[in-house]
Amino acid sequence: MFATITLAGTVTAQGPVLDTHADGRVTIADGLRRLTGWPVARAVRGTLSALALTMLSLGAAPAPLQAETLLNVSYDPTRELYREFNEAFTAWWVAQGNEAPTIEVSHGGSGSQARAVIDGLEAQVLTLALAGDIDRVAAAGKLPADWQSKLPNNSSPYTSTIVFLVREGNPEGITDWGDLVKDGVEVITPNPKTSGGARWNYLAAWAWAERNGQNPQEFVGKLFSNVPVLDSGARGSTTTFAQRGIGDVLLAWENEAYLALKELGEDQFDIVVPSISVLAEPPVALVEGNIKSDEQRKLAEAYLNFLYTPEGQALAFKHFYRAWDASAASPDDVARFPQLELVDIASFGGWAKVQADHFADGGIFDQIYVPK
Amino acid sequence: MSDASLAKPARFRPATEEAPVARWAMIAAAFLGLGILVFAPLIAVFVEALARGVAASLASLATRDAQEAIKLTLTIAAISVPLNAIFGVAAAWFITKFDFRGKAFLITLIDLPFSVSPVVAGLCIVLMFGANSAIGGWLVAQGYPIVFAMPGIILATMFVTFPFVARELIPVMIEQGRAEEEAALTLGASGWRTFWTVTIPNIRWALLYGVLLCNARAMGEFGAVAVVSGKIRGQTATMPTTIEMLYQEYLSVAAFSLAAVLALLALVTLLLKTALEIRHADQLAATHRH
Amino acid sequence: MGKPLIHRSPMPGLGLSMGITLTMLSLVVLLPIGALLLKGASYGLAGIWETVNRDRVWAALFLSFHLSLLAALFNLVFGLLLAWVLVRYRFPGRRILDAAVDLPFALPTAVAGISLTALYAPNGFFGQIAAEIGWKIAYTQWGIFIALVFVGLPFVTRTVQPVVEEIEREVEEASASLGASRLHTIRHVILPMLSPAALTGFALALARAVGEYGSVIFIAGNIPLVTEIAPLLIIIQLEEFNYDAAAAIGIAMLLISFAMLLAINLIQVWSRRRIGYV
Repeated sequence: MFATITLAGTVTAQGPVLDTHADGRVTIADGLRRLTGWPVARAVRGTLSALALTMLSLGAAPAPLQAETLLNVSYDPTRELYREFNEAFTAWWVAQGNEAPTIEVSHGGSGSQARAVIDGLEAQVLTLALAGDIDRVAAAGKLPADWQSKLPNNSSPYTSTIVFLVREGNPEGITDWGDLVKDGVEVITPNPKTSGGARWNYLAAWAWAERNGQNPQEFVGKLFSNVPVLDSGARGSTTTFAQRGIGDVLLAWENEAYLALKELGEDQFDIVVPSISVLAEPPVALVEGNIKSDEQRKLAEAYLNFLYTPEGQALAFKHFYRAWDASAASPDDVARFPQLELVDIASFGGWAKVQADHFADGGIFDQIYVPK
Repeated sequence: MSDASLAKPARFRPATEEAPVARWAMIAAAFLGLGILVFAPLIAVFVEALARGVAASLASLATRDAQEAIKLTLTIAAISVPLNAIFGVAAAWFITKFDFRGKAFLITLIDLPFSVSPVVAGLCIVLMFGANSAIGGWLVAQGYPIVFAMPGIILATMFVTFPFVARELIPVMIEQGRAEEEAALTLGASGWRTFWTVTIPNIRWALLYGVLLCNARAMGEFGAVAVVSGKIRGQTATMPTTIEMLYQEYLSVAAFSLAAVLALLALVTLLLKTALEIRHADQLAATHRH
Repeated sequence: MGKPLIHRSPMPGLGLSMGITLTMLSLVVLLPIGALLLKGASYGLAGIWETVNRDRVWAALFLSFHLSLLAALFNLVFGLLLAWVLVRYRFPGRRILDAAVDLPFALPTAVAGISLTALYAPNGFFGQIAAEIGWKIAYTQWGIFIALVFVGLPFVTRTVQPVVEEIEREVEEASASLGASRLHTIRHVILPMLSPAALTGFALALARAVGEYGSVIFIAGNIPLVTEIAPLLIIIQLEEFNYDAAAAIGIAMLLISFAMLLAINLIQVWSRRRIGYV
């Protein structure tokens, strides 16, 4: 029997059927390799062939096809990390005697990525910025509520923190959070309402004020009145600060700050580490609801576990994340991180509480601009 | 040329032209306005694209992600633009050749996609066809997901470019009235023959402008497509979404090179229009003089 | 009263054109928008009103609509001028100008926003010049205005251009031969002929500007109550997984835009009847 199958939604292939799986997928041989995918019904075959023909006539050769695919839905600053990590993992997986998998990655704002998965984006692996975002996906029934306990360190293979990026020579003499509310100091940060990273900026300032005898709400209010531009994402703020020349200090992810130094010139900016900051733990999770087969589950589990191996951890260090296991990392990558007091989300009462108190509609952050 | 100017003293000008001062002032204003608003940003794009040399720029375009994005964008434009053109012609015919109640209302419904923020347009499609909706859930169960796959991107693109052709044709067809078609029909021509030999030649420039706009916008659309595409590299990432991703990765040469290609693709369709204009220059002049 | 829904007409193709129009309109536009309205309906009118009736939302709606109106007015004047220059005059560089008109559509909005910000920021090419005279453009309402002019630029030009191509010189000649000055001819003969198309272009530029997000976000500054546009509020609500509130603001914007477009289209239909076009 001949069948037409569709792979990853857009590519089709035809060939004799070798095997029919319990979930409805079939395996066919297209002459070169064995392919597994969802069969295409006769009625839409014509349309799909027309589509494929259009693509072919435009010179689109179908992408190389492999047996198993994996989609990792991630947030913005992890692009460089996962680009290299996917290569390392694929090499390791093949060395274990498996077929080379197709690993796809999608990046975007953490919240909008979570929304896409809820609305049907078929991610098998989530690597987002905030545990709260994965909780939302769990609430939609795609993974168990206790997902965070399935992997070590609260399911966070690496952590990061918030630091300051200032102009070369630190002309404003900024050393700690208290300096940010001085008159005439312009602070650049993304909007906490649209950027996960900016919520950490806000919380770090809050934590400093609490420990230094200041009214935290007043302090962050003053800090945000020194913000001339609220970009929607971390990258936008970096551009505003570095390329447009706006502001005296940028509040940034540590990995973004190092990346900015590397990409935009070490002689133009300095990193200032404040006395206290936050311990951001970007979590990862397996999306149970989107696992199609046992083979795929094996692949997805191996992918996440590989993040915790010395090799995976070394890559995280290399891409400016604070990982846990430095045994295989280059000593330079590890030594670069200064020690400072880090406050984790639990000390603020957990994400659900923080979200409701601070960032929800009419919450403390909104009251900075529209007093109650 | 010189003969003509000799025969006609410079002081006199045809009554259907503006004074030279006014004419040159308007041309200067056109150059100035477009220079500041359009050429400057375009030059900025090319400067960024070529910041590290032509070779680096070309190398960034040769990557698989960039190539797949270009193919996907062209495919989507190739499907959605003709569909919208067919709709545009049908809608313009229906609206201008017949009298019915609620015409302004219908035109406004056609305009509606413009007044919807692209992000909301994407949201609408997700609400309609997403995995959590009745229709979307059923389709996903059958194995034909709309959202985060090609059909969703095409739908989003069609949504944002929906009014272009119709809106371009309607004013022109109103201007022309129905007399010519009525004459053709009275002389015994069939409906289709009247359409092809009378209507189409009359509206071809407007149709062309509409298709050009539609095409440019279809290829450049980001907001709505970003919501429904899932942004999977090499699969559902169109040129604009890929540009955004590259920019976020500090790969500004690659991002702006791809943006430059997108601008050039839009120019290709415009060259086509120019070529047509030159080829049909005689006919055009004739229609203007008759 | 007693007026038939559709007048009988000798024109062929009623069924076909009506069928295609209504089917595609429903599939592509009405169904998805219906889904949005349904979402709003489940939230209830009171809920929508409560979401919208806040200082910050009103400020953003006012900002979006009044800057869009100004930008569309600018585009109306400039677009008419451009269409006239491009069709009527022959000068070196005309084809380049003609080609450039569509570029605002071809550039993805994010690229346009980044380029415009690069030019108009205080350290940018135009921003520096403006800073000399103490004029801040990027990160103020001026920046938003420029981005909105940019995204709406092609509309008026491209709708008016084909109509200018169709104007017959005899009409102008007749007017001139009856003793009308050139200005008088333009005001009383040419502009009325162009006005349906110009009004269409104006309406589209306005609607497009109201919904614009991608390019504005880079140049706006996004400070609540000052430079925060309405589409940004929708994004903010979505980030909080608050689909209801996002739909509520979306519906409010949709209703205002719909009312404006309907008013413009009614003016057109009405003036057409008055002038005597059928």
